[in-house]
Amino acid sequence: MASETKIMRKEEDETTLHASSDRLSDLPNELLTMVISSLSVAEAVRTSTLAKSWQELWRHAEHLEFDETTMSRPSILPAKRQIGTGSLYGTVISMVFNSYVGDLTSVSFKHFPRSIAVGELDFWVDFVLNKFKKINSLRLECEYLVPEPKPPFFSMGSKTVKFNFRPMNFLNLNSLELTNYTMTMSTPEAFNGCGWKLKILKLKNMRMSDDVINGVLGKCLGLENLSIVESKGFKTLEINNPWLKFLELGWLIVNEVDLNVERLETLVVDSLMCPPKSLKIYTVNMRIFHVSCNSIAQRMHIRRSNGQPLLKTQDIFEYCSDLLGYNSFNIFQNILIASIDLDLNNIRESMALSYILRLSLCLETLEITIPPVEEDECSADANNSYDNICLSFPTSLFWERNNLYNCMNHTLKFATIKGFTGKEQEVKFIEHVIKNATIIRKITIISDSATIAKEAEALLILPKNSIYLSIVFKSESNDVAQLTSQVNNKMSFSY
Amino acid sequence: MGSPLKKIMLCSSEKEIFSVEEQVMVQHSVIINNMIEDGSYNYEESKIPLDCVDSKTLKKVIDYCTYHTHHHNDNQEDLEAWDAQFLNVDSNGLYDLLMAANYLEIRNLLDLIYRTIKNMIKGKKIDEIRRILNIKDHGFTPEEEEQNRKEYPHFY
Repeated sequence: MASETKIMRKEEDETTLHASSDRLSDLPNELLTMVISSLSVAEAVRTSTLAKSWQELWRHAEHLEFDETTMSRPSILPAKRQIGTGSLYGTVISMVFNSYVGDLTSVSFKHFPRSIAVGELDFWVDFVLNKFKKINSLRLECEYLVPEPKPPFFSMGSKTVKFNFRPMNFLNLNSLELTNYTMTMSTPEAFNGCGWKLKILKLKNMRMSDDVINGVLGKCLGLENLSIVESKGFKTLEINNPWLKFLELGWLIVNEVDLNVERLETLVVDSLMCPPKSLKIYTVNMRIFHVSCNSIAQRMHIRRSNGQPLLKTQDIFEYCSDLLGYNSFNIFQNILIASIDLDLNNIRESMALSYILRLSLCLETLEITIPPVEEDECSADANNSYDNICLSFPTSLFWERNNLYNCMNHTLKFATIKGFTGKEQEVKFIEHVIKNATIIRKITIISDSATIAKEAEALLILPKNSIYLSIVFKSESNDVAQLTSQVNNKMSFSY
Repeated sequence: MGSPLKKIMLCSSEKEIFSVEEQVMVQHSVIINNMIEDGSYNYEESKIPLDCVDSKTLKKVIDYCTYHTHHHNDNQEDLEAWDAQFLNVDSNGLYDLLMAANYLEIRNLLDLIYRTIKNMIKGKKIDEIRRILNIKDHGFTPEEEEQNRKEYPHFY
């Protein structure tokens, strides 16, 4: 039968090549329901007017997303309501649950602060968690009428709303996401019994004290995926969750971070303000290592906040390895992918990189983002001159030393350099990769500067150690794209 | 878990045979993973018959699994760009891929297609969605349709 329809469709295709002969709406109901599950509630409910056969589908959706911020006011509702008699949001939620008949497994509430003030959010969260025992994923987000500044700032002034989570609320959850709330001293009790069940916890712009956050983490021993972003109110983070595989820390200002996570596979650190000496990482299985520190924080010249310096990639390299004698075990030994912000023009950062490349016995993918040149050149120069004092040979020879042996010799497959400007040290590093990496397949160089043609050509004619290597130049701006194609035409550099 | 270079045979509805690295399919397809694990696949003689997947679609599915097996270390942007290019097919192609991904239980591909369809209809008016999904006969009586249009004019 399948082949029959196939043949039929072929004929159709040939006769009406561009006519819309669409069968998407003929999909089985389970699959259509999955499509509907990915829509917000307002859109999902709307699909009931698409066709008779769609009328009932949304009632079975596995996921419902109640987003107050995108809800338009149905004309049938009275224009004015009194607080306490239930808001439009509450009305919509109750209308939906009046008709819903499915097995809800995932629910999301995005609401305005008023929903907490009138107590309806508590009510609905309790309602869904008690009524639908199969719910394993819950997402709550409080939205403000005045939008927060974007992209993310260190959230010292941004608002959060106090929400009293009831004890044992999260008993059956597998995944929990909270955005823009204040956790109270009693919040950890809501996590009672989560024990080994809760696997994913994402906290964004949350206000919580040391006791609260560390209390919550202590109750969720089974966590595998943890993300704490733009949150505040705490100074110390102690993460001891033995099954943790993924950890993201972003836009935090802290005094101390203590990670004792043996099974961690992915570590993402973005714009963390923390004294380098107080960052302690113990793990042996790390595969993916991602550090960004050059994003907006640096451009805004936030070097310190509340007395804490911005943690740079180099700091992690120096203090989390035995380079300075702070850490005697090698957390880098199993890393496959490293994506880091690092200034190759700064010799001290290069030295740290060189040392870590030697410790990384498995590294296959290396992605380096070079920070844009700072306008405030004086301070940058001052830093550099301080960092440069320790070499006994010319800086330009750094990547040409004979005894430089590292993961490039046998494991590195992909290298990407972003923000390439053609400066000497950047070129020397790429030369080092081309000359030494034996099995490398691809080097991608991304540049926004239009004046790298000479450097590009020089790199392309270098003798390559790996016969599989292709070198690609990329750019966002058209100038360089053109330039690249010129270079391409002049020589075929791709094997 | 088989060795990386072991091959398995997949047979499309047109009886065309595709030979694929076992690892590629095992990693992506729950069904094939189960078949290999419970030993119901015989490397010497058997091929996995996929009677409801035609050759063109099967080839695309294999392309998807192969690419994502070998490029899972690539950065997110590149993968997303590849995915977008991969799903740049007409809606019949999308239908076939969705059915195939569902049959073989390829979770990533399913999610990708759901997202794509969602984006096709998100924020659109009902009339527009009907056109996109080619719903020619909505099945409502004229009275019901009129009632809906009257009650929810902003939908249409």
